[in-house]
This record gives sequence, structure tokens and C-alpha cells, in this order.
Amino acid sequence: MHSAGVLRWVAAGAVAVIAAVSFPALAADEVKAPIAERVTPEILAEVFPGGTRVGPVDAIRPILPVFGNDIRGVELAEPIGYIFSPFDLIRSPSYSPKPYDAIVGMDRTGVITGIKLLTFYDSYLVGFPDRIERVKEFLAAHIGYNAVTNGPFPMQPDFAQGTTISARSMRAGILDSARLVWRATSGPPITEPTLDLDGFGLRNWDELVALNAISHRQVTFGEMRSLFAAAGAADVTTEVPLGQPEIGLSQGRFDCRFLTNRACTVLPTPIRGDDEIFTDLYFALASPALIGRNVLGSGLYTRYFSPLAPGTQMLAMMSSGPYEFRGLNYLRNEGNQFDRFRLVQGDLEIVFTREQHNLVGIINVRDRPHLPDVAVFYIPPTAGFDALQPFQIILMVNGTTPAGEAITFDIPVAYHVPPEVVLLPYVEPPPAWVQAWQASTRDVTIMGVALLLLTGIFVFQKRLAASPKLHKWVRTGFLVFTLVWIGWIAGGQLSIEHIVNYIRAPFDGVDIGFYLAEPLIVMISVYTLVSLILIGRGVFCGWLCPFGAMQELTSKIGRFFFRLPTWNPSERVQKWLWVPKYATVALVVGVAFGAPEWQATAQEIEPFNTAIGSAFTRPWPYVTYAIILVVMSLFTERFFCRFLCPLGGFLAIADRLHIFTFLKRRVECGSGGCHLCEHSCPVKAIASNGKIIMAECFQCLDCQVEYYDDKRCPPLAQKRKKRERASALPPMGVPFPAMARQASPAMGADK
Amino acid sequence: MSIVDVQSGLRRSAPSRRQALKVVAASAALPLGVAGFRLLGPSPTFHTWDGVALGAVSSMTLWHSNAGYARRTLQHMTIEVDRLENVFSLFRPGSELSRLNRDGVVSGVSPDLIEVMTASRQMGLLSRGAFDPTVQPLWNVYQAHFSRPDADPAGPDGAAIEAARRLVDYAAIDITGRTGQLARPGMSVTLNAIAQGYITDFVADLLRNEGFDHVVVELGETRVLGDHPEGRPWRVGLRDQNGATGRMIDLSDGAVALSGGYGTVFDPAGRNHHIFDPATGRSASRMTDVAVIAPRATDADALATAIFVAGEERATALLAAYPGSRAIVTRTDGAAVAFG
Repeated sequence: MHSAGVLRWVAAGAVAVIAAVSFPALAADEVKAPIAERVTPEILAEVFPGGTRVGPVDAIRPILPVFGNDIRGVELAEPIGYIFSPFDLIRSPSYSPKPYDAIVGMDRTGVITGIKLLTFYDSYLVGFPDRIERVKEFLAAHIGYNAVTNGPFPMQPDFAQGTTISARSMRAGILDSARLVWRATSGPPITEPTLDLDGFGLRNWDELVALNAISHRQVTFGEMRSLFAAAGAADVTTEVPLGQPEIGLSQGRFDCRFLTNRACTVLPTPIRGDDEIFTDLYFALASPALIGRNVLGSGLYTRYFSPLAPGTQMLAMMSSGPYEFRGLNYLRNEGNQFDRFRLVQGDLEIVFTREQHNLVGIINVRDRPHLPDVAVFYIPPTAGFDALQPFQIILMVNGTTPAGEAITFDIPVAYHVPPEVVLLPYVEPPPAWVQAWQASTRDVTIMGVALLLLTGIFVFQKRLAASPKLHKWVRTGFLVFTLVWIGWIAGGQLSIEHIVNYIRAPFDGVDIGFYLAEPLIVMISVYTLVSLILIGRGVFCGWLCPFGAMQELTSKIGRFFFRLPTWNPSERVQKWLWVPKYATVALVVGVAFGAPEWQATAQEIEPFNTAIGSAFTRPWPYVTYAIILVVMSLFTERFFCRFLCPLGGFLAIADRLHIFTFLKRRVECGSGGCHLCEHSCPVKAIASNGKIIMAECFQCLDCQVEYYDDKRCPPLAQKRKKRERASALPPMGVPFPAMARQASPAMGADK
Repeated sequence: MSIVDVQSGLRRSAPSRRQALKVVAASAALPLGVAGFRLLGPSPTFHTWDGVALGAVSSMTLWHSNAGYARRTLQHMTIEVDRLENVFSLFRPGSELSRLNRDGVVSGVSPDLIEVMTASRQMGLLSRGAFDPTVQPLWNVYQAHFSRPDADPAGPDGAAIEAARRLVDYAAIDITGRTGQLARPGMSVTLNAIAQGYITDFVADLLRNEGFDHVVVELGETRVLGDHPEGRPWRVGLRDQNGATGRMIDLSDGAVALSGGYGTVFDPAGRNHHIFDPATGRSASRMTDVAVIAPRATDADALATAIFVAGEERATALLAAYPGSRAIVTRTDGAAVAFG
């Protein structure tokens, strides 16, 4: 979606340029009443809930500011959002070239508040009420979408001819004009993360708390007492007496009401239940309008924040409970410092003074906790405080031990300004192919593990082949993975098309990113290339090709459950049958260069798209062809791979390059008289002289299983029998070393 | 061929009756299995990308059973769309075309620019200059004229048009090797009458090579691959000048392009619009619009402009050069005539 986003930005810029340059000309083609006349109170209520009235239209643009009331019902001086129509701003067309008119509301953070479609001329919509309803529903799904941050769309239109185009183009126009409005009404471009002081939208208390724009800490008397007790200072004297819950009914608290303060402090400590609130503290960084204006209300926010020197931050502290955050000591101590809380940010500690604060008093608002104590505190720009970094408010509880020692308990409460009030510079998204890799992390990981496993299979092939059972299960398991996951789920079938694309790449100027944007295909291609050079084509064909796996698995099922017979051509005929695959690769590559319009048709020699890519959901002619190939492979192992596959043909040609052969042979093999492997090779890649024809070998390792099987491999079985006979009946007079030599596996006989 | 039993290595001359039955049963079971797979497996649906290409609202739609694969493929295509915009866009200052217009010469151009320039020249020759990619100076004159608030709705004065018209000459574009050059200073090229068709074709061809059977590509022009999955042709609605329901045409494996003088109009009456007749320097006015259906969008796109400018008398001759193409002309009196 990102690159679509970029396109849209570019297009938005382009559209804006056209609109700006040719506005008089475009305005001539349809005349509508000015936006202010089209926005009725009903439409205002619909597209901007919470907006009370619209202001006069902007002096230079057809944008209507929307005004609203703050929490106390007082109208905010600044607009809370804007109303506009793509019709006036960019005249964006929908399916019809005649522009549609949609009244759009957007708050000042860029969030769409409502869309009302007024007029449109789309041929697929006019006269189809159900379609109109669907387009309206689609547009309504974007209420709450932030047009500025450009996130993923909340809804993709289902395909419906005509209406989809309408829906999508209307959305594009609405979002483009929303961005225009936002840019026109916001300040200069952002070059580094900046605290957004002006961005504003109405947020209630719960929303602010959910945003973490307000931090909260509740401390009970029980908690305070256990804190002090844990510090071994249970009998500490504090400014707000902590009381003793176990004292029972106390006269003190009752009497206190009728006595002077002074007398009260000397009375027996009042009862304080464990759950009783010591202090219920809320605080927020109130400088951003989104937080401060919503927390304090418009009048108070303006009164306290606007006189401040630029760069000064404002903290709003609010609490209920007997332990109020200011205390009284600041009135009498040196420097008039508040001693019940301080601010800590890294090494920075800020203790506030009397001059740095203003008492606000009580803000009474429904739907929020009752907080009788409210004050604002100022942090001057010289303090070294960075509002974007996390900080802590440390609630301090001071006490005196019976010995007269002062003791302070710190209760830290964390705060981090929410991202909603931080403006970030526009970051150029990474290239689309990088995004493709980022988006397929999971697939890339699975594939990476599988390729590692496959490498392990070849590195430890001796150990694997020595255990026929293990080999059978590992191989079958891997093939199932190749077919089901690589093929059907991840869509990672390597095809001759990819090879053709790679060959053509230097000639047709296609962006390299285009090739890199298929992570799995890139991984498989690279692995295939490396394994082709090292061992041969068989690593891909025998292990990583989903269609190959499909053929092998179906024929395994056929043979295991139904004991289906096998057909194989004679060695002489087979030599001729190997040829067509070279012809098909020549055909496909030739067509790709000579007659590109037939490339897709030529590639249909491969049934990969049918059987793997679209899991047999293509039209029947293709499916029939694929089925025929799979049926043939039931009786002739991998019929398609061995005789027809252009990709196999290409790899078989390149196979001539391979450096190593790890498949072990004995002198007895083939011309030595033994044809066991030759017969058990499922694809008949072993000639009657015992030589493995690597261009036809699928590296299934079946011959290696035979090689290590001392019950089936004749030379090995013979040795085993000898050895058994020898151990059962040690021959008389034979010296020990000779016997040992006979019994060891004849590794020296390897070819 | 002979039959080999792997276990015994024995050769037999003919299969037993029992084995023959097995072979038939297994061969029949597989298609049944596939049919079941089609019924129970993931069923294909439409997957759509939407965005903007060369300033036009664009989309690509695929019909496929593997959603992840389809989504990745569509994403993949946008890389090429973006690259081609960097070749043809007049709005991107760094595009090959913008550089050619600014400097009069551009070297190391992409094969795409060469191909589109070649196709343009061919269409220019065929249409005897009715199709001409060098009309951009005329556009600039009209644009400058009509962006003045007191613009004369009749259009720019004759002298300005004549001056611009002298710069219009498709034969004066010289492409040698990988360098493009404009013969006269002040010349300026727009490929808007053909490049969208080219991009549409380019992406459609890539998708066809990826093996997609049912595809709609709308990147400025419309091209479809195959039929609608329901087995009928795709139905493409053409807009008329009022933007209301126009003609519906059935399309299979082909492209359609529409040229009409109402796309971008300069004056309220719509007499001055973006399709210029290089012969007069005025907006072409021989017909209301023309829809061209052709196998490839590049051809349909260029043919539509050529016929719109040249007039219906020359439609048949132009269409004859592009096998499989036909046109529907809407005359200024509203009557529709089919050609080809």
C-alpha cells in the first residue's frame, strides 16, 4: 500500500498544481453554490459531530472552519476542524468525468469526522439505490481514518464493476483534498519530531487516559503504611497522619470536625481503612492543545498557557484525597519549593517553586473523576527538559521518625507523551521490494529454516541413507512440505518464467527491485543456483519443486496403497525421450525473445500455474492437461519432469557445470554385474554401466540407501554374510588382523 | 515400452486383468480428487489494487485462489508502474520525457521510451500527422491563455497558436540508439495519448506471463485478459460526454480506449479541450468521441486519438493497419457509427 500511497501523494501534488493553475477554467464547467451555502446545520451535525457552527469561509480557499465548545460548554476560540468538498478543492472525478460533491469533515489532527455524498453522476450508481448505499457505507467506513498519517485503509471495496471505481476514486479525492486542507491549515513542514502544540480535536477524559495522555497513580493508606513498615519506620509521623486501622472506633476523627486544626493534630490518630485513598493523583503534559485544552478547558488553557514564553512546557497536576500534591511547606520553606513531588528525567531533577505554578482549583466536569485539587506547573525552556522523552513525577511523602529523623518516601509515576501529539517528519518509505521482504518475514523465516534443513540433509546424507526408515520419512515429509507450504500456501513455485525474466533482465530494463520483490522466489532461485553449481539440478527438481513433489507423492500413494504397476521406457528409448525437455526450454526462451506475445501460451507447457499456483481452480482445459500429467506420473515416475519440463531442461543443461558428486558407487555397480540401484532408481537416471547420469538425477538418495543397506547391496551383503559366518565360527589358524580386514566395509572399492 | 516390476526386476509382456483394472481406477480417481479439491479447497476471488498512475485513477484486478500470492503480485506490479511513470510522466521533473522536454536531448533512455516513440512515429505517419506527440506547445499556449481570469472563451489568438503550431512536428523527434533529441528548440513532447496504453499493456503482459487468466488492468486505459470468471466477456461501460451510462461493450482479451473532447476542457462551452488538431492548432471537433477496441491498449489508445483528430472518413484506413481493431464513433449529433 505504501507505494500506492506515494503515487497518491504525487498525484495529489499534481492535481493540486492543476487545480491551482487552471482553477478559473475548471470552475467554469459546473457552478455550485459556495461551500458555506451547501453546508446546512443538518449536514454539519452529520459530518462533524460536536461541531456547533461553521465560521466564515477561509479567505483564500473554499474551506469552512468548524467551531465547537469545550468541556464546559464555552466555545473554543480556535476552530476544532474543517469542512470542505473535493469538488471545490481539486474537482476530482469519480467514474464520471463530472466531479462529484462530497461534504467532508476533518478535525485538526487529520481524522475524518464524516462524509456526506451530495451529488454524483457515476453511470453505475445513478438509479441503483443499493449500489449507492454500498458506496456510502464504504465511505462511512473511513470516518475515524487519519488522512495525514496515511495508514492502511480501513476497508477495501469488494469488486463490483463500476461502483468499485467510483468508491475508490471518491475515496482518493476525499483523502487528497483532506491532505491539502491539512497542509494549508498547518504550519511549516516538519523536519524533526516536534511536539504538536496546536493540533486539536475533542477528546473526553476516558479517551485521554486511553491515549496515555494522562498518567494516574492511586495510593491508599494501607499501601503507605506497608511502605513505611517495610522500611522499618512504622511509627513515623507524617503531615497527613497515616492512622492505625486496628485502633478501632476512634473519637479523634469524629471530634476533629468540631475542633480547630491545631487541636485536631493532637487528638488520637484517626481511623484510616486500608482501602481509603491517601492520594489519587492524575497529571498530564498540558502544553499540547489536544491534551491541555481538553483537560483544563479552553478558557483555563488559554489563560495559563498563552502568556508563557515560547518553549515553556506546562504540567497539569490533579488529585483528590487528603494528601494533596502541593502541601503547605512551599509557603514557608526557603526558595518556596514544593516538597511533595518533583520531576525526574534521566539525570535531570526539577523541583518546582511557588512562582512556577498556578492554582487552578476545582474543574467540575461530568464523566471524569472528582478532582478537587488542580494546579498547573511550568517548566522553563532553560530547564533542559525534553517533552518528547519519558519522564517521571516522583510523589514524595515526608515523615519524621520518633527519633526525630526526617524520612522521605518516593513513589514514581511514569509519563511519556503520546504519539498523537508528536509531529513526525515525512519519511520516504523504503523501496517496494524492501517492503515486500518486511511483509513476508514469517514466510522468509520458514523458507530459511527449510533450506537449512535441506542443506543438512545433503551434508549428512550418509547418516540419512544408512537408515532406510529415516530416509523414507524425512523425504516424504519434506515433499509434503514442499507441495503444501511452498507450493499451495506460500505460492513459491519456481517456474521457467522466472528464468526467462532473469535472462531478459539485462535487455528489457525492468527495475531490479521488480525481481527482488518476490522474497521466496529469490531465496529458492539463489539456493537452486548454488546447489546447481555444487551438486546438480536434482536439489531443486527432487526437493524444492512443488509440482515434482505432487507427482512423486501421488505415485507413492498409488504404489503403496494400490500397488500400481510401473511403466518405464527401455534405456534406448529413454535417451530419446529425454530430448523434448530441451526442445521445450528452447521454445519457451525463443518465444520470450522472438514473439513475447506468445510467451504466456508457451509457458503453459508447465502445469505449475494450474496445479500449484491456483490449486486447480483454472478453466478446465488447463486442469485437464495437469491431471493428464499427474496420471502419467502415477505409472511413470515424474513423467513430466524427466521428459517435458522446460525448467528441468534448463537446469539439466546447466547441470553440466556441477563441481561435486557425493553419490557413492562401487566397482560392482553396473558393469561390475550388479544392477540393483539401476532398478531401484525411480527416475532411471542410472545407466546399465552403473554410471549415474547427473543431468537426470533428482538427488532422492534412494541409491544411497541401497548403497548402505548390507541386506540388499550385494557386495555389502556378501561381506556381511562372511563377517557373520566368521564371527559365528572363527576359522582355525587365521591370524586376527586378516579377519579384521575382511570384516571392514570395503570403502576402498568405491568408484 | 515394457513393464518392469521394480521388486523383482522381471519383464512381462502384458498387464494382467487385475492390473489393468487398477490402472483404469487410479486414472479415474485422480480427476475426481481434483474435482473434490476444487470444491473444498480455496476458491478464487477478485483481488484489487487501486491507486493513481499518470494522474489517472487506476486499478488492477486479478481472479485467483491464493490471496497472498495475488496480493504480492499486485504489489509487485506497482514497482513497474512506478518505474514507467519515471519514464513518461510530465509531472515528474526527473522523468525521461521531462528531461527531453527541458534539455531537448536525453541519453540513456529506457527501451520503453524508444518503443513508445517508435509507435508514436508510426501512428503519426499512418494518420498523416493527425496523431502527433509534439503538440505539447499548443497545450502550453491554451493552458496559459485560460488560466487568466479574463480569458477569451474563444481561445488564444491566432498568432500565438500559429507560433506554437510551428513547433509541432512528430518527424522532428530523433531517436538514435539510446538517445532522444528534439530537432528544434522550444519543441515539447507529450505521450499522454499513448503512454497510459503502454503502461496498461506492460502490466497486463506481466500478469499474463504470471499465468493469470482473468485480469482487468485499468492504468489509464482498460485492458482485460481472458473472460470474466463467470464465463462471459467482461462488460466495460464507456462514459459519454455527460458522464452518464454510455455504451456497454463486451471485451475478451482486448483493450478499449476512449477519446473525447470532454476529458479536460478549457472553456464552459467545451469548444477548447486537450485534444488538438496539429493541422489547425485548434481543439479537434469532428466528433463527440470515439471508442477504439483493439488487442493491445497501446494501439487502442493511439488509434482513438488519431481517429478523433483525423475524422471518421479516415477511421477505416487507420483501423486496417491494426488487425483486430474496431471503433465506435459518436458523431456530434449523437449518432453512433461503428467502423472496422
